[in-house]
Amino acid sequence: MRGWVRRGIEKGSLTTRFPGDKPETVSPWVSELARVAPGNADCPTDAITGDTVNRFRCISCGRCSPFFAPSGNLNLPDTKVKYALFKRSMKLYLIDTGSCGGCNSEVQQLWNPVYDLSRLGIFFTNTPRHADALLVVGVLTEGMEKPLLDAYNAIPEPKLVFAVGACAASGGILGRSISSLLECQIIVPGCPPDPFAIIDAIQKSRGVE
Amino acid sequence: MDSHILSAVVTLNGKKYCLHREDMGLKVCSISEIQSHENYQFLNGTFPDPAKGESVFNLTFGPVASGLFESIKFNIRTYGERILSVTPEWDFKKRKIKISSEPNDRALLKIERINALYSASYSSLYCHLIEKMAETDPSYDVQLARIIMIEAERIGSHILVIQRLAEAASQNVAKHHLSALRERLLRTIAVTFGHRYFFGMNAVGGLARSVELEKFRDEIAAIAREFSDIWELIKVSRIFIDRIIGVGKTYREWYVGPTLRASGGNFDSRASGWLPYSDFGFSVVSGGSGDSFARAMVRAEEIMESARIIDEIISSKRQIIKEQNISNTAASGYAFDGVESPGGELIMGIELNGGRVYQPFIRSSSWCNLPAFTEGIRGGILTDFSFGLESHGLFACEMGDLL
Repeated sequence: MRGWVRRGIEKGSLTTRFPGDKPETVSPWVSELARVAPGNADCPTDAITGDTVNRFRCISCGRCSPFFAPSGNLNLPDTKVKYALFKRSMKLYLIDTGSCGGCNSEVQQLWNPVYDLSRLGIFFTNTPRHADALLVVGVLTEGMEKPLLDAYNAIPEPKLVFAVGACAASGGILGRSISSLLECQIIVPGCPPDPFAIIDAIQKSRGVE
Repeated sequence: MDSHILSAVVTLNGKKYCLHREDMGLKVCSISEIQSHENYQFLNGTFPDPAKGESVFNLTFGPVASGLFESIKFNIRTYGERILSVTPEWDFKKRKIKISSEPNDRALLKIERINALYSASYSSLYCHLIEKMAETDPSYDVQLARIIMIEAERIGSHILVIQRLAEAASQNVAKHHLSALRERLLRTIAVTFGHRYFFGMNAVGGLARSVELEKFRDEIAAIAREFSDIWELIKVSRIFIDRIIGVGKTYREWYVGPTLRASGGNFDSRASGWLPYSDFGFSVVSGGSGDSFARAMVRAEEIMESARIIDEIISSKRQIIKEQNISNTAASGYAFDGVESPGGELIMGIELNGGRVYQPFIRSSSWCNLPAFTEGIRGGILTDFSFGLESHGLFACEMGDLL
């Protein structure tokens, strides 16, 4: 017991100042991409048109190098609605419809002392009945269609659906997106999205800029 | 005898081949020969019939439930307290990843997304197979970079498994310390390799990006020291120990990875594989009674061994590993091999024709060790379930189809 107390004191506070301050680090190839040289970039998901990168199709593979390079800026979410009702408290329910484990891992990292979502009044819940929003990760597999709809229907109104990561957002390179089954109000880019990008999207969905 | 251990059954052009652990060669096998192996039914996806009896009922866990990292369902047969049998259903999130007839460099992007947490293992093995068929030897530096990536991935994966075990045992302080430590590792990987899960890092013939490793070495050493400090505190916690000791005890010689090594088996494909681990005095960590605690112990020791290997490689004058990408797209042939992913031996086979991929095959560590969980947890009590499950480090994303 004393050992844990000692460690806790020695480590001090690990918690990020984000969103009050800039993110300390952003996973380079998951950040916003910028053109740095002229030329035709080979994009396996056809996410590039001219100088523009469709961030929801981008799978962060880096194949567009050396024409594009990471800017280090967070990739911004697409937020179709904002529910100020969830400003003080928001409960999230995570569902994996066919991920590679990357998005699950990044969402789970949000509970750790570095990101500590609870400081922002954001919590994870173990049942959709208590949830305000559904966080969906992965491509949509056949077997997960019913569990996804069941979870969605169990969430009381008003509710939000987040498509977290390239697979859920656009199908990425592996399959189909969840938009073929459910309308998503918030789309978080990245493969997988940086934890800071997920926090940013959650904050924006409830009108916290 | 190791030569009798069935690692995989591969179907090629309609014929069934056995792959045995000792010789790692494909052998045409009759159905009766294949069926004589105890693990064939599991490799084939068949689990024993659920337990039956008076007052026995089915308790389902999943596919979406708290405590599960991914979507998978378990049918637990019980009469109230004791687990009589567990039958898994892994089909819910089963992805059908199609790489057949795709150019080999595009297929690589899909291969590294089979399991993000083992991405370096998958992509390194895949690149090795293509390079083998293309008769292209990647430089020694590239091979070392691949070892570094796989070992860093192992550290991260093992920390996650121990973190989830601590969480299952309500050791939330320990869980948070480990989770913060894993975040430090992921950030270190991102800064050095450009991505937290090594996506886009491997390329056929070399690496897609140059890496500078000196700071990485120092950070990995610091992470290993910190892990050791945390582990010393966890392993003296009676609450933690009492809850996981003796849980999920199991042994079969055909298990792989920490599941096998924690029960005394000493097979580790790093000892005899195609990557030059032997140049860095690699030693297999093994020993224990095959329970959840032994698996955690093996993982803890492997974290230290992985950190030592990384330190030794980077200290041997290889601070900078240069980018090389010499993809040979016109090659043809069939190749298979294995690599020691964090969960255990991963086997992959691929046919290449004119630079395109055909007849892909994988046998993941999760698939191989899923029966270790269902067999080991039998006879335990319901509260043992999560300790048993987490200690094996199984991933449902590895149980899909590669077409």
